[in-house]
Amino acid sequence: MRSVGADTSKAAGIVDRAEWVRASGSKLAHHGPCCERARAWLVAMGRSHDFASTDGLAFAAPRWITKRWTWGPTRWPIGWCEAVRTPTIDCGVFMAFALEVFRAKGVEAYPGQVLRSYAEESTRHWRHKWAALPGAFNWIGSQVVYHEVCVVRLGEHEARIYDPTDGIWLEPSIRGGHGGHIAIRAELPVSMKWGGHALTNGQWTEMVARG
Amino acid sequence: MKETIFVSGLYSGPSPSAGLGVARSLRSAFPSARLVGVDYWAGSSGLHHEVFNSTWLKPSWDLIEEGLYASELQAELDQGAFWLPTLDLEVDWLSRKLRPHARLLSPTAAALAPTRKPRATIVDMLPLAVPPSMDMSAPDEQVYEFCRTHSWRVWVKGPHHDAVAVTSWRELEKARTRVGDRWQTDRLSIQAHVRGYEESICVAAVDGRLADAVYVRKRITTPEGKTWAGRVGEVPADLLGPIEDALRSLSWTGGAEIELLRDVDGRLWFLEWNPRFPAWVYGAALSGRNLPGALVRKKLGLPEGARALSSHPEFTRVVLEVPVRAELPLPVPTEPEHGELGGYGKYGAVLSAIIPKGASRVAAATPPSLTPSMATDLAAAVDVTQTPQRLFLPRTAEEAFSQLRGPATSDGASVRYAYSLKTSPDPEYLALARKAGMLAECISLLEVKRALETGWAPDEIVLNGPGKWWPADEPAVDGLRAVFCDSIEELERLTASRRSDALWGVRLRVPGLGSRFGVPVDEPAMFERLCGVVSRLPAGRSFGVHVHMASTLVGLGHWRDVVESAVVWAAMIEASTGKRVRALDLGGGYHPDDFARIPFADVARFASESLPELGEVWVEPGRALTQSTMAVVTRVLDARRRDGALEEVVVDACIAELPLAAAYPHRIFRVTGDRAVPVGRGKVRLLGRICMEDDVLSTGVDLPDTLEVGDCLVICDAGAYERSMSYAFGRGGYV
Repeated sequence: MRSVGADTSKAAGIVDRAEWVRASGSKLAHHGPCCERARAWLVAMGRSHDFASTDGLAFAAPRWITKRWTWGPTRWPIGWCEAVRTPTIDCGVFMAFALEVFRAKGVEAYPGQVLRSYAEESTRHWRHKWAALPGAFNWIGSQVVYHEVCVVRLGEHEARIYDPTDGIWLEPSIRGGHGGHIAIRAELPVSMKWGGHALTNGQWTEMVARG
Repeated sequence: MKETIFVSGLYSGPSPSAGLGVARSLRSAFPSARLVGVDYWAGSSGLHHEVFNSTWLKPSWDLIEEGLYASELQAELDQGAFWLPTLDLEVDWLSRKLRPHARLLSPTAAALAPTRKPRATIVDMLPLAVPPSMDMSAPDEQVYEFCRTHSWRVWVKGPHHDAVAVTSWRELEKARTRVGDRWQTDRLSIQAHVRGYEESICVAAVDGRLADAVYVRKRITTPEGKTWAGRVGEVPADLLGPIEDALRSLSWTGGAEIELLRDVDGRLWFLEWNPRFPAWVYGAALSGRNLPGALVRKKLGLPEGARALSSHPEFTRVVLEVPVRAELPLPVPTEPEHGELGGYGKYGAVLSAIIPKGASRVAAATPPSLTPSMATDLAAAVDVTQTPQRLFLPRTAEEAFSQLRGPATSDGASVRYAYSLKTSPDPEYLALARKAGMLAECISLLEVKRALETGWAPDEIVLNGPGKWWPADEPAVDGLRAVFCDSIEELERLTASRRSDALWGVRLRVPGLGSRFGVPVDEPAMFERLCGVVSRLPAGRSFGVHVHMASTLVGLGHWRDVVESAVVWAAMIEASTGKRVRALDLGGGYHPDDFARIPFADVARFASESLPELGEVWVEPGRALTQSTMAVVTRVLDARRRDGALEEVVVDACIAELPLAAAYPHRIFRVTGDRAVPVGRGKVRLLGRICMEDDVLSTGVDLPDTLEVGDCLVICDAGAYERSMSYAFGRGGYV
């Protein structure tokens, strides 16, 4: 479930849909003990796939999540107990899972959203796929899509962005074109830098001017 | 410019040389230059590219007349042509065969020396981490330890090219043989794997002065690990300065590629310093940075060319067809052989023939070492007359078991050792285990019976395994210390039974382990089901969790990961069921050296932090205690020679006595007079007596040519499963 966050005027010129401006990171519903067990299972799975002693890496991302679940529409709201059992999840669930695993191993991580550019050739197919599931989040614009990611804190004011849907760390260098990042918004306790970009809580940061 | 530039190395298959990319870069920088493409195999497709004005197709390196070729090159250089090699081994050959020349665009021998594998000393000047590595001329037991220490995520590396990932001792032996044969040397190294992104730095320099440098982050690599697409960028200032210093110290001339890995924590790891441009170098030129062009410009004293990166400095490769030059028709393929399937079209330049003749095939290997007590025990080998004979080494065994006498202390749960009967059920070991105060770990009712007969009480016995209630006609002794179930179904049956064991538990199949044992928990439904059964255990029954993965198989780091993972799962079961975990069984399978290195008290303390009512942590070191406590004395049945040199030896031991001969290294000694002399790695194959193709006891040992039929060898590390799994094949009967 997404809640309404702080408004940001910068996004007005970027987003295709007004609801994206205020949407915050997805949160899974918590029904009670069944969801508690589901979260526990996810965290234990995360530890099993972490290979912390084998590879000795502190910031290794939960790549296994990307491999285990298929990306597709999710009917919201959805609880932890349902999400872990369903084979197909959207980027909001991917983000919620990755956030949980990062935090369980002591890595400071926060929800983030990016706007990405895609041509109609791609978005038409996604729109068709999503139309089949009423209740799914409307994340597809004409040439801009809304996508959820994890903001991982490295140092006091330094962040990196992990995209658990694709299993990649985003690069802060400006990139246009297919899948390029146009803007980013993070829900942070303090302002951070992502490469040359300043991330401020709740504000959309435009990364590349749109022609 | 109307210079003539020879560019060598034109193979353009899946693992391409850099010659074509270098030539295309030069053509871009010098449209009117005369480019001559050089290669040593008619199948190198770069020969046919239009970028070349003409070509030199020389014989492959096994047929080339080196002196003549050197004089041909010298003549071209003297006439003012440039020579720009892109084959590592050719670069090395040039440094040996030609004097430094103003027109030779490659490094000198003195410059190459600090960049050579396996340990390029030039890296000491660079702010880069270096992956752990070791020379494989070390004793096998040290190589084996290296592999376990690095969790069997290791690469066997050749002296010039080739890196083969290996995950077991058998694979390591195969890789060692294959890479060694290819390069005609045993001078191999082994390197720990680094989990990271592949990146590299390409530089061009003249007499130590940098002409240009770029940084490439590889975006796509081929199955052979070659760059297919990348993003070009500037070399970060904190790297560029040290690289310039390094080039200056080497007086480097030519191109070079510094291969790196960047891990997700941000560390940069050095992999290799290649003494030539990379094959993707034209991709950098397309992005605005033409390094071969910058190299020639600097050499000619021309002003620097354009150096601005394009706004989208990314490149990718495509597969293109080009017409074949009429004067260089394609080689007709050889007749398909009844041999290895596939593999046609590999580079046929026979580069291995460039390696200086006379280089030693066999590296000087260090022989194995022994503890003083083992050395004393092995003295008995000289008196053995009946062979093959397995010797029990009493002092070694006493020493191994005595390390358990001091209890492993912990602030949390106590560590208790359980002797795994299956490992070595001989009376000597059972007595030593009892003396050391160990519990008994059994996997069948027959083993329970044996433990009881030896003196263990039921409440000192831990029962494990998938078939623990076998055989059905044996009484299922009640009141055991613990029973660990291998499935949810077994736990349900146990719950329904009237047994009164102190603790019931479950073995977990931890995700990522690849084990056949235990309850898989990688599906939420299975985890829920397991929790349901655990929550229904009788109120007075203690609960425990068992996990096991042999450190010999997965290595130390991964063993630790498995244990920590199991503790997390145990805590999750606790939280989900309310049933407290009172015991954690960590199983066995430890190498003797690993057993001594693992801080079990720390592990127990860690587990107690997550499992507050954990009372005991059980460790089952059967293999660790007994593997080195037996040796097989064997006699030479046949000594086979080639040109007078010993090549193969057949002995009267075989894989029936040593079923794990190929699974891990064994220390070998030769009996001479009243002494057992250590035998290092060498070129003589040690073959067993039976008619089985895989009866090879060692792929290479250093035995003297004077070895004779009747001489005795001692194969150590022959206890544990080498003893308990041995069989009577080839003896004219059954056990």
